[in-house]
Amino acid sequence: MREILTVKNLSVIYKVEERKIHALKEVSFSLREGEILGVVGESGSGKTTLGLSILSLLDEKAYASGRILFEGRDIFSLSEQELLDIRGRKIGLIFQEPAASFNPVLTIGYQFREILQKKLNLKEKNLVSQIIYDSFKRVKLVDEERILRSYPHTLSGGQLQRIAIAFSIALSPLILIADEPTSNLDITVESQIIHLFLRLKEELNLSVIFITHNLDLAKVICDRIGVLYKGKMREIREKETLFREPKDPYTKELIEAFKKLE
Amino acid sequence: MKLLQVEKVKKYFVHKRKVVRALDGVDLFVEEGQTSALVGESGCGKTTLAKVVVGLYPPQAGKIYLKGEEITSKRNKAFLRRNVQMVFQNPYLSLDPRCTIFFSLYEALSIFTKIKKKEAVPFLEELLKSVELPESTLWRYPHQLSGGQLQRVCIARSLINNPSLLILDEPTSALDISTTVKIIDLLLKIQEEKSVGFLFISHNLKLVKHLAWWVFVMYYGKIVEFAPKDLIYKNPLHPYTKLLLDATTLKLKDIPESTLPERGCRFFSRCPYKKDMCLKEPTLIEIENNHFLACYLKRK
Amino acid sequence: MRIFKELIKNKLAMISLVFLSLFYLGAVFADFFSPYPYHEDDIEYLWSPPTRIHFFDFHKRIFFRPFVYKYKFYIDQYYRRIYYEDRSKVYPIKFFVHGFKYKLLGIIETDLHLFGVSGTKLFLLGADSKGRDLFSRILYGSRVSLSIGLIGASISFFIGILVGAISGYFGGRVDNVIMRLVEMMMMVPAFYLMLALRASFPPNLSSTQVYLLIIVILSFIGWASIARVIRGMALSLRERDYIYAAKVLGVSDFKIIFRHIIPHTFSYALVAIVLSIPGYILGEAALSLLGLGIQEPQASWGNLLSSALGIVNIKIFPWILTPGIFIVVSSMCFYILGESLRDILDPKKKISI
Repeated sequence: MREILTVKNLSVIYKVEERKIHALKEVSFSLREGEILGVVGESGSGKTTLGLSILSLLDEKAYASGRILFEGRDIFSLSEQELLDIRGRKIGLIFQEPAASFNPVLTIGYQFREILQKKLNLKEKNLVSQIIYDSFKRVKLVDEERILRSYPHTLSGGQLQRIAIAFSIALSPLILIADEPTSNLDITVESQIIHLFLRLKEELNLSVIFITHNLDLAKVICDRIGVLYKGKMREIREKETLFREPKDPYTKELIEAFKKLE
Repeated sequence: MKLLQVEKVKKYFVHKRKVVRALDGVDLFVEEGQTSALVGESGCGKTTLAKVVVGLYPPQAGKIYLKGEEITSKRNKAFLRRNVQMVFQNPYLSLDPRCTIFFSLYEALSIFTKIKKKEAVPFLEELLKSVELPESTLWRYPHQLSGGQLQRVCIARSLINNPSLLILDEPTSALDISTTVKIIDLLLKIQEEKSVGFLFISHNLKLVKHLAWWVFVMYYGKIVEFAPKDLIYKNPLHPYTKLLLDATTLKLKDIPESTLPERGCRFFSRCPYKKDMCLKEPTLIEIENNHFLACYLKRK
Repeated sequence: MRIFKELIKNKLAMISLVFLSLFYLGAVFADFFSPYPYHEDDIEYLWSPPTRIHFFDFHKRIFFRPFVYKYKFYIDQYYRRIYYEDRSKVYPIKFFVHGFKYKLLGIIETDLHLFGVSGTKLFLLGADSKGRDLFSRILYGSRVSLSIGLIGASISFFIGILVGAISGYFGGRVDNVIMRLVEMMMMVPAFYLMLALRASFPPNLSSTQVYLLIIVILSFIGWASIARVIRGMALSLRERDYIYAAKVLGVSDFKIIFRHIIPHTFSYALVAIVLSIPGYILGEAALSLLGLGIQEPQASWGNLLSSALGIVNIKIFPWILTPGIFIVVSSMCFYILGESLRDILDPKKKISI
């Protein structure tokens, strides 16, 4: 499998009230084509910063160093125009809070059409509708008409997250970054969304970076798992191996706790 | 006599002219010194039940007994406060951020005990030790502590007046996995030492396995199944329980959206076994030894 | 405190703070800074223009001390006084002089003044229709104007926070009744209410009585809008987990209100108090300007401006507008300070009192 995204020595420092917070310290890893790579970390480990860095969406107060190689170029060296081209189109992002992906005062349909129009330059109504329906079908959303007419606040978290995923895959990205996509959802919904990810990976040959704090999820969905702790990537290896023989002391502690709760 | 007995408790809310039946006849109990787990997803009413038991909301109907005494009426407030305490879900929000840990704990202590601040210090230091926190924590502010530490403080605070029942509303949902293990261990230790009964509320069936004697499964304001722990895991009877177990182990792939029907079994819209008779709401009946179920499936 | 550190970074806020400190310093030590008592009139100097201060004299001799000349006048064809300097004698300005007696801070008897001239009068900002030094009167006037602002605002907030917190915390009927009362109060236009309230008391009251009355009236008008905002804050604050936790523990409602709800309103309250003080200053000024407030011979910035009501006076004696400048400057300083505090205490920045 070839490597589709490579992160080299990524370091991110936030400046908060004259203090420096090292969110990420020399993180390096690669994402292979067609795999689901898990980034497992507890709160404060820097995992959200990692997701944002890849799309160069960091705050102004953040200083990033290192390289993120995608399609032969370093993302940090790209212009704003080139970045706009990548965001959504080539690399998608799913947020933890389902409602965060949506403008609360616009209908789902309006937002979907707007995205397709702006990102894919599509104006032809029929084509747009086709893509919308196909995407909804893939994420197993029924009652499309009603959903398209609805405002975000009338839909459940699970539905919104499915719609967010539908938005993302409609643009046919190569990579999907999912930042704790199920943490705010009920467990029954979570299970369904996880299986949705697995299905999409198969059907669309998506490469996914799945960020989570939940080892249960990582165990089911990921091919390889990287463990992030206080900004450092402690260990990254095949799922089975990680659970069987963790080498890094922090990872060991994590796996032990996990086994205890089984 | 059970430590806590909840009988047919109903709690309705009126929201925009619609009646929300948060609790629609809930039966539950906790034995002395044991843990009863209440499991359900968000919106099923488990937090509402906790708030009703603890006296924050009065129920529309039903009765609650603590050590045999009825606590639903307002008269017994002091008795209630002494004997029932609660630990909330989000440790970051359970303590006043402007108060030191000492003050928050002292406030709790001084409700039932007349004691000066200076005299309280050694007692509180011991208390913190018992939840495995260093004495220096006493003088810190909440924002200086981690989630795990804060939750320990909250647990300590709830135990100050030696309650016989502790209600824990998703106490580890906001915590990391390694901290969760430590908190569970701490709770087990406390239960053994002080013989406190726990009502452990969670959405995670796997987690409650470590603490529970009895497991109550709740769906849309009603208990649909309850049994001793082992029976629930070995032989889950209600379709919703099975669904939850599948979801907890991440085996659940697809289910229809949930809608609350006007009448009849609440689980109707999602049940793969639904029949006509399900339009009449089933009641909780003992199916086998101590295993209670509200479903027509296993009826003879 | 961290608030102060942040405040220092804002240059405009610091300038405002310095100005206000000077004003209040001037108010507290008015006797020390004033060369003349506020009531000292002088027929020789009716409507005297500000005394020019010289460093070089007619013969181009340099003096190390600033000095003034005596002002004499003649009457012109319109029966107005035209003042001119009598350059025959030089009167140096001395510092730390002995002048009229007073009690420093109300306790220590002394007669020390910052500066003064013997043999003639020094009017830094000119004199009024009775020959009284405007500068001194402004300083004494600042005592009234600036203190009424602070005290009035504080009392309003005290009442408003109490009522608002109780209303918001308990909700239900209590909240309903209190809020309707608040709304009724807010419906009446403040200025007219103020006049009406003042008019319902006899016009001739002693200065102290008037002073207290003004404070009471202004506080009475102001508390309603504060109560409404605090009530809104209390409504949302009471849903927080630590409030539930306190209730479950058994903490009494009033203790919860005083220890856990009200302190969380301080950030808003401080900003609101600072921003409302100019309103009180202007309120007092308005009353005094209309003759309903502080009476002569007492001074307040408002009643000092009453002599500026005629356009003739302003044209011929423009220095009479100086009290207005003080009002404007102090109001602006409070606004700037309040706005800066608001930015600092913005909840997103996580700095709080």
